[in-house]
Amino acid sequence: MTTNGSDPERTQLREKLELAFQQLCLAETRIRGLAGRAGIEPEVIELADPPWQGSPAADEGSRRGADVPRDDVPEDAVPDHADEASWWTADRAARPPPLTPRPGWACSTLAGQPVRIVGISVRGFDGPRLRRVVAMIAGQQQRGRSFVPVFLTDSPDAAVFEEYGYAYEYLPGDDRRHAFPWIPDWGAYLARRRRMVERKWNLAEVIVFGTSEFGR
Amino acid sequence: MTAERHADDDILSLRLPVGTQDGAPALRPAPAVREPPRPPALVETDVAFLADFSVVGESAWRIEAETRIQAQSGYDTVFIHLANAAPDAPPDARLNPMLAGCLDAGIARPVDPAATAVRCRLLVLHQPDLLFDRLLDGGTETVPRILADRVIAVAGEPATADAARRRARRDAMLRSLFGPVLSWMEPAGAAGPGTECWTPATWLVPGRRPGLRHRPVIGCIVPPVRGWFVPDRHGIGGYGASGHDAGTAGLPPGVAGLDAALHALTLPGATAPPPPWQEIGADRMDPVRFIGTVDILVPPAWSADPVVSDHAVAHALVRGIPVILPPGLRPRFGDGPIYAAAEAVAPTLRRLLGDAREYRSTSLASARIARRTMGPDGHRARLHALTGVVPRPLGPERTARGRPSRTRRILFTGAGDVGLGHLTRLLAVARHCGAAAAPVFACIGPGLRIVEQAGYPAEFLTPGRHVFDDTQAWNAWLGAQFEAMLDAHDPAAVVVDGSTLHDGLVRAVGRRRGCSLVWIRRAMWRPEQANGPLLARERFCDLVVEPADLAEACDRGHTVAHRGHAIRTEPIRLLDREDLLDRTRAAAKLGLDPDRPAALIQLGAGTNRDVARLIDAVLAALARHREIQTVIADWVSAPAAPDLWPGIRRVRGFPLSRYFDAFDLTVSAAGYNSFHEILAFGLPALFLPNLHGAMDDQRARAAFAQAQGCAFHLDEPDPAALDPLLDALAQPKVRALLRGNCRRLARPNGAPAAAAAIMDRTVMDRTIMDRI
Repeated sequence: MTTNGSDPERTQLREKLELAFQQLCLAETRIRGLAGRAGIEPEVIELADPPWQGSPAADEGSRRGADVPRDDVPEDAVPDHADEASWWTADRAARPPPLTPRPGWACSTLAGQPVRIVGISVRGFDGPRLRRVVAMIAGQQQRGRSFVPVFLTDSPDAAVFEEYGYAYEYLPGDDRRHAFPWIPDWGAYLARRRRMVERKWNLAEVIVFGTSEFGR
Repeated sequence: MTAERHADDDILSLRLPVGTQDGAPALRPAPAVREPPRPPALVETDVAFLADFSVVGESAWRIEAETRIQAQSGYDTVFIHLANAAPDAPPDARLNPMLAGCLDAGIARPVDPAATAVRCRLLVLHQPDLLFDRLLDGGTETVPRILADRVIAVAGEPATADAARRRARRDAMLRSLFGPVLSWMEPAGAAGPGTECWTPATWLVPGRRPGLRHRPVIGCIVPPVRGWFVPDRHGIGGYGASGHDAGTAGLPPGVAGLDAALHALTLPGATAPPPPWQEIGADRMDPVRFIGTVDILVPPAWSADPVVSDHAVAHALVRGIPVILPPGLRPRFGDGPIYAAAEAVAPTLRRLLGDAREYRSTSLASARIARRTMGPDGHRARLHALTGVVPRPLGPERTARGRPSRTRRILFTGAGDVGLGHLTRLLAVARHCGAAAAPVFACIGPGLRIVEQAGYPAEFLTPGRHVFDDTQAWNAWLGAQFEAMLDAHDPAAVVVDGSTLHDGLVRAVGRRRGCSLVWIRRAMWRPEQANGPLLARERFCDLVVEPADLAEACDRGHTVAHRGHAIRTEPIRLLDREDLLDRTRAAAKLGLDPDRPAALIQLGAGTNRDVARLIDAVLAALARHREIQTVIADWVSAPAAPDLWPGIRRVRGFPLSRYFDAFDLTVSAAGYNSFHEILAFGLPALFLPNLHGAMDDQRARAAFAQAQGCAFHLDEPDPAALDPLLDALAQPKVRALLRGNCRRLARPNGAPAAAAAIMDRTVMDRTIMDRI
């Protein structure tokens, strides 16, 4: 994290970082191309085999689906007013001011600049598809230099965002619903989290890729 | 509404419209607006509290305690707020978190006095002087519309002759406003002849069984003042004080040298106490929670009449926490506390802290007495007398959210986002918590996939390096996110692994009750990191667990002096021997020939050192040994790196140690988890420690292993030094020698003991009240 500084040395460092990242991307592309033409394919073995699996809650949820024991919440439970401004507890949570996301390595000089923060919802995207979307957004950002993206994802693989130097937010997808059997209203829970994300980054808008939207 | 000022009165004397004097419910005069008046909504309730709910101090304690007892007894309660009534109240004052907790729990309802009238059996009016200030400013139009069968006004000033005269005039006004049956009560300790006392009463807080903490804590609450809860610019809770000097805490006489921590909770306006007191601001820890973290409560000064919170004493005693007071306070507090003159304080403390049985019997005896005099029964009895409503038998609070959860969820989170060390230890502990606990993970940064593959639910927290703002701004949102998670998952404990406890996390957990804070703090901090102040944060924890380090004889870090403050366990490992795949299966998974030697290169995530250069040097040295198959470990938390070494197999996954038997040697960093796994499973190694300033003392570990004959150590992969070491490791006899020496250092896995300590010491059963 850095403080908001505009001194020449810092600007110069960010410019170098931008250039270095762009050159690195180019070098990686060339290396892959050369290796491919030489018939050398990378051999990466993915291991996903922990010796144990499951927690009591997750096991219970997966076995019983929606019919899992949960706290005895009456029908007329007090609605969650954590985000509502009730008349005399208005804004009692006193949310802190929004954060500024890192702009990404390819546009490091946008750090601290007054550009729009845009949410990019990539719910349902993973692996190569996700990588293509991130690359596309990065390309647009480099051309226009008018926004900083914050990716909104349900993929637990965050490597691509780290690679590009972007901030991201994660919400579990519906396929992970069973891991949280104690949450009575999954939709409301996701919606609250989304509202928090929007406030946290002061998102100017959310652009949705795919058919379902982050937090909805 | 018209008013006349009488020259000999210090307050407006109001001529009331006909209709109120006979007790009929004419709740407010006709408004001076042109629109036809809308009839107010009407709320009926058993007990209504009328006060400024942003105020911090004894009245807030009192209201919360009584509200909880009422909820446990089946009474309905509403809060009617006098916003910013006092002239010196800050405009941005917010609801006191203690009282907000009552609303969040659904055991009290807020009422809008501008739009709602209240009909109640009992109105309890705290700080009536505030109400009169309001009347002075705005007249009766600003007064909430309440009609009560019975009114109790708890005086906010000592019972003097002047106060008695003022009270006589205010008495008539209150009767006309709220109801004809009115009683004045003095707060405890202020009652004089002919006056009644509204004695403090506290509810039974479910909590840990009486018994000394691992490292005893002596606590005090520095005198409260009239202050208000005001968030700071980052939205983190702070306090504004009224300007009154509340003083500070002195040291109990003779306690210097006692092997106990001294924690002082400072309320608004209080000055930070001098060392050896460790200050805990009330914006970082809820006062009731604070009391639950101490073993003995003492007053902030040993004078004849120190300022002591009635409710703090009541809370402590009822929970079985001994309270030591000067003898002069006996008339006020009765037989529950221990009374000691100044010269007797130190011997009393030594006696209690030095003998666990003595401590337990004292705490049980004090609690039995206190529950008779300061427990919920006194308040229940007076409620019955005042309202005519029979309280139901005490039970868990009936809240709108149902009964407290029986599931002991535990929230695990790492303090850092470099590598997977913190997450690995947390997974190791979670794995051994057993079926009684349901782990949930909050990952700061990478690790989500690993947690989900392990079968646990995972949440995400933004790492600091994702934001451009300063640390305070990031901490504010970290705290907000934690609060949201704590609300959603309601864990019984939060377990943090790391070298620091972030402020946002401390505040979020500190303000909650029934949620313990556990710090898993591995040692081997680099002495030049000057992390001493971070260690002081252990005062916010209910438990500190320090897993041993095989190299701890070489530890020069700041945690060494704090070993006695923590429960120590054997080194924590994620896997045990039986979790490893045998050589044949492991080699098959990795595509290796089990009949040829194999080397694993695992040098870390590469986020703070140039692992590519190191790998390159190692591969060049290993290339001289064509019989050795080489595998490079890609860190799962790192972005996919370009394939710079075509023809060399790469493996990506977690936990890699499961496949150790496929390898004959490794070139590895010396982080805690890799180091202990390599030695525990006897994998011959060359350690290339990560020397980055932010890391732990990996060089010391590597040097230790070499000194013990268990491994080789090299700081820099200089070919002149690297080649002979790898030549040696290529020799089966050398590897056999290293393996044998590793077996000599073998120690059990500390993860089960850490899990047991967490479950036993901190996870409270919140559905069962203490049975003392």
